[in-house]
Amino acid sequence: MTCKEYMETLADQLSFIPEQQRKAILDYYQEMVEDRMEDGMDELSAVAAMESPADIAERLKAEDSFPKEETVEKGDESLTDEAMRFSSLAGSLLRTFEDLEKAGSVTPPEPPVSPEPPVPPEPVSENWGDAVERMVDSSTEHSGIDAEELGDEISDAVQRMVDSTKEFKDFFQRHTTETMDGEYEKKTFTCPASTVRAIRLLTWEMPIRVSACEGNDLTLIYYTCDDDPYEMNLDDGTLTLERVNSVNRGSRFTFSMLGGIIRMGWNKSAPTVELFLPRDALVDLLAHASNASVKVSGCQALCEVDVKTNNSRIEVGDLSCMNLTCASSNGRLVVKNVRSRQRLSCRTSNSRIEANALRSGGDMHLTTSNNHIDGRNLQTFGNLTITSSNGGVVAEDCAAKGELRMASSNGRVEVWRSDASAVLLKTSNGSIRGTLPGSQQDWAIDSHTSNGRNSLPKQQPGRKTLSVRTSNGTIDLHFEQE
Amino acid sequence: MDSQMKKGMVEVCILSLLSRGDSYGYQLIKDIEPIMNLSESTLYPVLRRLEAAGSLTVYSVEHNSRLRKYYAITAEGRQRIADFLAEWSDVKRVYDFIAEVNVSA
Repeated sequence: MTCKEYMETLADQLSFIPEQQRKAILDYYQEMVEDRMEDGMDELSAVAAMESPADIAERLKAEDSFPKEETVEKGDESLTDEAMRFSSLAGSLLRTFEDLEKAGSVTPPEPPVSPEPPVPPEPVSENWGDAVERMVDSSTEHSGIDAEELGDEISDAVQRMVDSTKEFKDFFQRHTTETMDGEYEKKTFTCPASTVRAIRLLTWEMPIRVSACEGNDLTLIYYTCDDDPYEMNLDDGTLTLERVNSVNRGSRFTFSMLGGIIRMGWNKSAPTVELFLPRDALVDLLAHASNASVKVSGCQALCEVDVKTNNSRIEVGDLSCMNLTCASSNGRLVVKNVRSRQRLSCRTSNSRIEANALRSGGDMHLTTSNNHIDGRNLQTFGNLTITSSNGGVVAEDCAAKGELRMASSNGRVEVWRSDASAVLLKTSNGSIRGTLPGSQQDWAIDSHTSNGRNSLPKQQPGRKTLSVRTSNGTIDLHFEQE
Repeated sequence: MDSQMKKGMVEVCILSLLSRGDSYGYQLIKDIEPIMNLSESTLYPVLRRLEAAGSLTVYSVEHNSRLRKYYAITAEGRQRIADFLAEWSDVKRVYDFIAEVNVSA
C-alpha cells in the first residue's frame, strides 16, 4: 500500500489515543517511512518494511494507558500583590525580595537543558494489572466467586472493553446483581461562607477542583449514584463531603472498583467535585482524592490547607494561606504563586515538582524521588529544603532567611542567584553548579568532590556557611562579585 | 533476559548512541542493529520515557522540505550512562568470580 494508505489505516487503529498524542505518534511513524525512502527504498517497499498498524496499536495498548492531555501553563508569573510584612526582618533581606519580585521571570545564564522540551504528563491512573488484582481480591473475598476464573475473565474484558461496549455490558450483567447505572446525580449545595470554618472533601477517583468566586456564598457541586455514593454534611461549622462505605460490600464494592476501571478504560473522566469559595473565606481546607487530580486556586484567606492524592497530579496556585501541605505519589506537583504565613510543604515520589513564586513565613520543603525539582523565585523566612533522588534539583532566584539545603543523589544540583544565611548542597554522581551572591570572601567554605573539578577552595573561613559535597561530579560554583 | 532488565538496557543503549551525537529515530534503529533488533514501536515508548526522565531532549530540523525530529542527550542522560557502567562493573566482578570457579574445568 502507499504511504498515505498506511498512515490512514494507522490513524484509524490509533483512534483510542487522545488527539495530541496520536498526532505525535503518527508523525513519528510518518518520519520512519520517509527516512526509509531516503535510504533508497521505494514507497511500497518502505511501507512493506513497517510494522502493521494492528501490531503497532497492540503494542501501544500494552504500554501505559494514555491519559487525557492537560494543558500546561507556560511562563512565570510575577507576584503582583503586596509583600508579606513581618515584625523582625533584616532590611537587606526585604530589599532582596523586592528586587527579585521586580525582576519577574529571569532566564538563567546557562540553561541546564536547551531547548526545554515539553514533558508529557504522567499517567493519572494505575495500570490495569494492579486495578484488576485489587478488584479480584475484594470481590472473591465477599462473594465466593472463583478468583482465578474471575481474574482471567476480568483481564480479558478490561482489555477488550475499550473497543467493544456490548461485550463489557454482557460480562458485567453476569457478575453483578445490579445493572450498571453509570449516571451520576448532580448535587449542588450553597451556603454563606461565614457559617463554615472547615471544609473536608474526600473522594475516591474523582478529581477535586477548588476555586475562588465572588460574593459571600460558597457552592459545592458533587455527584452521587447508588454504586458510587457520596454524602455531604454540614455539622458545627465543618462541611464534609465523603464517599459512603456501605457495610454490605459484595458486588457493590466490586462494581465501584469496576466503575473506576471503566472510567479509566473508556478514557472518560469521572465527574469532578467542584467547590467555589469566596475569595476571602476564612476556612481550613482539606482536599483528599485518590487516583484523581486535585486543583486548588484563587483563595486568599485559607487557614490550614491539606491537599493529598496518589498516582495523580496536584496543582495549587494563586493562593494565600496559613499553612500548606501538598502530598502525592507518582504524580506531578505544580505549585505557583502561593504565600503561606507559616509552613509550605510539597511532597511526591517518582514525579517532578514545579515550584514558582512561593513565599512562606516558616520552613519550605520540596521533596520527591526519582525525578527533578524546579524551584524558581522561592522565598522563605525559614529554611528552604529541596531534596530528591535520581533527579536534578534546581533553585533559581530563591532566598531563605534560614538555610538553603539542596540534596540529591545521582542528579545535579543547581543554584542560581539564590541566597541564604547558610547554603548546603549535596549530591553524589552529579555536578553542583551555579552562582551565589556576594564574593567568595563572604562564605565559610567546606567543599569536597571525588573525581571532579572543583571551582571552590576545600576549606576557607568566612561569615556564611557554604557546604558543598559530591562524588564523581564537578563543582562549578561562582560568586556574583568576582 | 528478564523483560524489566531488557527495558532498562534498551534505554541506556539509546542514550549511548546519542552520546556519540544527536540522532533521529530511523538512524537509531539502524545503529542499534548489531546489538538488538529494535522495532519502531518498541523504540517509541523508550524515547518517550527518556524524554520524560529528562535524559534527552527533542528538536525538529528542516530536512528536504519536511521536519525531522532529532534527539539530543542531556547531562542527566550522560549521568544515567555513568550509573549503568558503575553498576555493571560490580556485576562483572561477581560474574568473573563465578566464572573463574565454575568454568575452569
